[in-house]
Amino acid sequence: MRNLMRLVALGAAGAIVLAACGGGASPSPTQAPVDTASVAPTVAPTEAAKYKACVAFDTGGLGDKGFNDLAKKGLEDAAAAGFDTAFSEAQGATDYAANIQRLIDEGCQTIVTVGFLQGQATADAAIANPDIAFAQVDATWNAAGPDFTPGTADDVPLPGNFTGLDFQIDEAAMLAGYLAAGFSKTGKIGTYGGAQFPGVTRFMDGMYAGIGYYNEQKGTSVTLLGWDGNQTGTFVGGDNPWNDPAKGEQLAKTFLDQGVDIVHPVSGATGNGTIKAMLAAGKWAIGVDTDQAISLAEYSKAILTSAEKVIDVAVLDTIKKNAGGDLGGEDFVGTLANGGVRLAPFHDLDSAISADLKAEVQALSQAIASGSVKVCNYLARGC
Amino acid sequence: MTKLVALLRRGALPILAVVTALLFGAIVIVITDFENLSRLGSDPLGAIGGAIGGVGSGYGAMLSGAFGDPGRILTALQSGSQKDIATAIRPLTETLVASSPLIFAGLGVAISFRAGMFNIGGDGQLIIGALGATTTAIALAGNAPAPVILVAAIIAGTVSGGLWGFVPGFLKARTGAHEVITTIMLNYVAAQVVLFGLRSDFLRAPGSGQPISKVLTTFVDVPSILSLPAIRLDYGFVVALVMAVIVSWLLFRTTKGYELRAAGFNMTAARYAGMSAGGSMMLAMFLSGALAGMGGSFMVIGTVGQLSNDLSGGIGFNAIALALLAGLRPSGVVLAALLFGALTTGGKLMGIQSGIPFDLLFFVQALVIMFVAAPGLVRTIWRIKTPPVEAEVAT
Repeated sequence: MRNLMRLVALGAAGAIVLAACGGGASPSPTQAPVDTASVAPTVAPTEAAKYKACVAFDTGGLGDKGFNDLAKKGLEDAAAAGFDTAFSEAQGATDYAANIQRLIDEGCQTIVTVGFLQGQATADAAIANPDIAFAQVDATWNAAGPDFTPGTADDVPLPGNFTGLDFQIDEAAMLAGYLAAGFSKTGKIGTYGGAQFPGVTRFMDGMYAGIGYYNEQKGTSVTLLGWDGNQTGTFVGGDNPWNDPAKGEQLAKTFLDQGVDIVHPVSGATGNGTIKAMLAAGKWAIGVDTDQAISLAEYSKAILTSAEKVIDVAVLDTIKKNAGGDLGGEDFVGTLANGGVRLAPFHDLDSAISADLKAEVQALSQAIASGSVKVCNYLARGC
Repeated sequence: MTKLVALLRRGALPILAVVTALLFGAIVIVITDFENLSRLGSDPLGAIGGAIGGVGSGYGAMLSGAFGDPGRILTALQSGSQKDIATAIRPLTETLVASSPLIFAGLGVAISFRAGMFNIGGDGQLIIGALGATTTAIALAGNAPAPVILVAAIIAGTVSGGLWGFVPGFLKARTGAHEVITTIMLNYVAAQVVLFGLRSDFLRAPGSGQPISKVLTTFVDVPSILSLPAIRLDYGFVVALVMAVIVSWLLFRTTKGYELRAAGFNMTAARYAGMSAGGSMMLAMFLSGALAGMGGSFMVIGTVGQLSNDLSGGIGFNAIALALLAGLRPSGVVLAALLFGALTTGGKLMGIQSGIPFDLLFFVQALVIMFVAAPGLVRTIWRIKTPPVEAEVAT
């Protein structure tokens, strides 16, 4: 029995350390965006009755230096713009509906939920509260209803108070893939995901397409390890795919052993371990979601660029749009053309990249934005 | 009268542990309130006052987030508006909603601990139970009336959780494999099994693409206790209370329960007395897993409504804490679960209103466990005399 108590005390001490680490994580700084997304900012809130904007985070939580932190950045920008703000954090699936309801009870007028896991809770709340604006990061409205089959009785058309914030990240990732193909010394590039979700493989699809486009243009045979552009690839899996940097380091070593010199991890904080290992090996990595050369400044010498979702701007713009009286009614899709996704600056590695390659990436960016090059043309499954 | 004194004495330590932990939490809130403390040089009194005010508003928000505002409830009841009543009593009902799975899992932990099995697999058993319930419900959807689906799904979930718990019990009884290792590892296996299940088109309808199941509440739902808008409290909570009574009866009023506890006290003696210690282990682990699985089933069919991998959110681990806090007594488990439910529910509102992250709640909960585990520490802090050593008598 005494041993048992000791074990419990040990666990409790560990939990305290963990809690302390969790609480200490600061939101990542993100570079001020140059161009804003397509939704135009409208009316600024008046002092008399402040508009209340709120964000409900998912279990990925604050301190992920990605996704959730970017939405937090958008909320902070909203607070700086004079809005009243609040946010809620979730421990488990049971919190989603409850947290959204708490924010409603707190008088929030715009509620942005983060992540696909909150889809059902967000949809239910949007329908039950038509006078409150809802938006969801990384989602589009599911008009087919809970059975996901269009044309059945439970179909729900996109309500007038909902905005899905979706990001065509494969466009930015294609640029990253092209850049990596041109920059790689060994002609081998690696990628892996946290788990095989569409939101994850979209990054990997983009890498695959960018490398394919480079090979087509240059007649080279740069290869991508970790994703075949269709169904098969390397994924962390397990019950902690997004927050296991040690596993990320391990995966980086596997790639390095195979001659890979640039890795694009798509697995949240797990990928931070990969970037660390690539830096230690004197090789490179491509960041995910946010400009990781800034959020992970200590590894910036290894970060070639990042495929960015400009979530913070999308969140702020949605709040402004809602405050202006437009509660939604259509999904927002971030593209290269509207600045919703982008390739991050090269920072420390700027001088290492040839001017020709930079110009080619720039040209490809314009070609994708104008529609003359399509990402999916380079995928094995052809979309 | 002596009973009351004994009850107070037994309750004093956990209560003081909670109070002490909350006091430490307050200190942490004060010393991490950088905004106020940065003024310490220029305006020391104002800075400290502000920081302490932060504690007040934080804990105030926690209280109203967990129990609601009595004045508001009264006005809402007088106004008679369903929406107002729902809004006013929601904190209270959400506390009960949060407590329900904790009661189930906590009772499970209590049973296994009583039998000398340190079951850390509550999370795995809960989510496997939820998977069993989800699979059964979807398989029966449209083929059976809702009440039949409900009962079948709950039974299936309970049995699946039980079987998942039985495995480490069996391994321990037959091969001596330590249950701490096997239950922890089976948590990982359970997470993989659920993710794998959620990849199938059967559970995850085409079109979603994400690892989250179909919504079950569209065709089967645990009946609500109150029919008010957005009140999630359902009869799952009542079943949790009934299970507490049953577990108490089983442990302390039946021969099997006596055997379970005997195995927990002293395996060798139990064996010498002619009881099947291995059988007790397997039974205890099966029941433990079954209770966790039942908790998971009520979550997917009732309050949450669909299965995803983050369903549990650490309930299995919190259950260990609260079962220890409860002294492994079923009645104590209910009280401790209500306390933890109130803490987490109140903590969410504290996070929203005052920006104090709910990580602080993990900190407070961890301290509670630590103080309960180290009774001498609490006695020293509060200068309580050590009670005369008494044999652990079953109650």
